[in-house]
Amino acid sequence: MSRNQRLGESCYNDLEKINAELFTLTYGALVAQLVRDMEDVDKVNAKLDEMGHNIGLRLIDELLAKSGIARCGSFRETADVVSKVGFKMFLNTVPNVDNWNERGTECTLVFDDNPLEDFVALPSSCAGLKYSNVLCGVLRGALESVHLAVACEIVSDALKGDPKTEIRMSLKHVIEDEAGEDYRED
Amino acid sequence: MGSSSERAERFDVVGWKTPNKAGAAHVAVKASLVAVVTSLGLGLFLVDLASDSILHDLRWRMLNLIVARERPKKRDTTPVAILQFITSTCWKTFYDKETKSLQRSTANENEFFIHEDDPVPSHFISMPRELQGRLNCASFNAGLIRGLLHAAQFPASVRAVFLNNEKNTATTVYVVKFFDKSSAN
Repeated sequence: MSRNQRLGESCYNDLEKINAELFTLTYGALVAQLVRDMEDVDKVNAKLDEMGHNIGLRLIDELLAKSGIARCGSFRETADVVSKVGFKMFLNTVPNVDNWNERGTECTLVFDDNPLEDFVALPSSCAGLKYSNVLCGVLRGALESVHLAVACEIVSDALKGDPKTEIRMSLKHVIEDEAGEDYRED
Repeated sequence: MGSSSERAERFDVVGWKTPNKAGAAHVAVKASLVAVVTSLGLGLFLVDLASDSILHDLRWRMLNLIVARERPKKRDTTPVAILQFITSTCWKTFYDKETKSLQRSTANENEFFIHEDDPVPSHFISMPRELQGRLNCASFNAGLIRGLLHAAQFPASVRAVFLNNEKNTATTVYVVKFFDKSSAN
């Protein structure tokens, strides 16, 4: 078992837990309510992404505090930590990382078991809904806080008939340290 | 219901307790901070809306799940019994802890109080000044209780309120008011 795997397991064991079904059904109720309120599936997708982004901004603190993980030397390491430590700690699932591009800046997270999607069936009226889009937002927000600008997209969705849910994560650029917008001199 | 933009603002407004300040226990999924933020979102809906139908379905399903698993020999038929089932068995299933106490109100026969320290949906949440004391994230739990009671054929209204105790920390109390005197069937 690799170091990150062991770290993920021990962090998961140490953290307080709630019932997974409660979580899954709560998320389902949330998405259902958003769909009812917004009616436009694209707006719901955007909203889920925004929520995920807010969550990710805070979740990264939790991850770093609890796991004590050191700086990652490469995007490959980052992806490994994300899947084996991050997802393990918070969702108790470890997606496989594969389909790397040549430069090592893009990869796919393949979920054998996505806890958000248990008990879920999408109605035909929501064909364009990206149900797990919140995960994309979380990844984007969390990695943004550690100065990595990534774009995440659901490329394959188990709820739509594909075998597994897959998220494509691409590193766009490393964010430079600079003063926030209010403080910049124009 | 508030407009979308109003809600969008509110998602950003409420911040987080920093870990060292709260020394808080952590919620991970089989717990996740996501759940807490999610439940916060739903809490806002609960506060803003008269109806919380979103959670109604949720609770009905949860109750079915739990009852199917626990398989009690008899269905609970008194309000006290169902509340005890909720505060002990259900809470243990959801959050792995039990609520602090269950009391009957002296003022009103159909009213009960459930005390809880540190409800899980309120973990990691810090309130901006404007919402302090007004928005109780434990409304999520209140809605959960309401749905469970409803699914068990005990229509009731449940509110989550803050109660300041002697040590000047706030306990959350769920005020459960059953709609009529007779129990199920």
